[in-house]
Amino acid sequence: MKKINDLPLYWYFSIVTAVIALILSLIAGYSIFMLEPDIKKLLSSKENIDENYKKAYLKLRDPQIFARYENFDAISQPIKMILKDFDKKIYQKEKFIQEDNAYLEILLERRILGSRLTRNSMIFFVLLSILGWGMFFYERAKKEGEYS
Amino acid sequence: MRKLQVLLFLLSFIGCIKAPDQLDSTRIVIRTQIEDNKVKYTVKIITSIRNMNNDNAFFDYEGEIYFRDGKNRLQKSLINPIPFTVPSIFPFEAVPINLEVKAGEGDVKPLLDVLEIRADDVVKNGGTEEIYIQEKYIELKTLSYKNRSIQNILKGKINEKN
Repeated sequence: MKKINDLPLYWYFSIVTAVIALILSLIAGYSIFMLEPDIKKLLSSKENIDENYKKAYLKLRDPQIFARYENFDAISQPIKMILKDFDKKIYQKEKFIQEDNAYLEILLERRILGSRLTRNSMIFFVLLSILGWGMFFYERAKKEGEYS
Repeated sequence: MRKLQVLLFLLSFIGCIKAPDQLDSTRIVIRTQIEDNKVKYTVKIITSIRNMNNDNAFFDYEGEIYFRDGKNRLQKSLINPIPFTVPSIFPFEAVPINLEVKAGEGDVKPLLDVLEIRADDVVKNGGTEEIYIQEKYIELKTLSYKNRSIQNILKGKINEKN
């Protein structure tokens, strides 16, 4: 039976999973380290509530790529109402008030869930890549042992 | 070149916008009136259309409502189709539509036949109660609309105020 050379397979598998992990890390990192702290700061402000809440809503209106505003389950259905009402609120130039904080927190929670999913997916692909590299170096060492 | 074509084809789905394609909870009420010894009908339609997109709003939406017999559209008449316009439909918004059309017996009879309502009974009672129209008997046709990204709309409004 012809022996298959696994080395290129492990090589490409490790590279591809590493690239996917890198892309996911950038997406998760941007949300976790830059956007979410920014939004939290705006939502915790006690002054200029209208202006800060509007800025926060504008950031939240652009959803996290893995937590887009579609395919809602029963628990997340209220999010549609929040988006509809707040879009109209800004369009009609109404002011945001302190009580709107609770609804903005719900949108933030969705973003956080999305970024955590992205982070966990990144960890998964990192582990796959490490496994691939492990198999690559093991197979290479085995082949070198056979030839020497 | 073929790979580029396939890539462009796939990318075209990313920006896909879904225009409203059905009416929600459509009801009609028919009223009759005798004018010049002729029966005049007033058909009132109560319905709504919904924007299912999460990031695009529709403006100056123009559409038409057609009545069907379940398979095909009913013959053209004063009540078929019924045109309407909606100034704006924001994401996830359901906009109510209330239309009223005056027509003669010839225009209304095909609809009454589909709904299995006798015209004589309608005239005798001065009209009908609110009748719920099943989806298979009604059709929405989109004629035109303008769409804008909700992000751009909101940014514009916030900057406008500033």
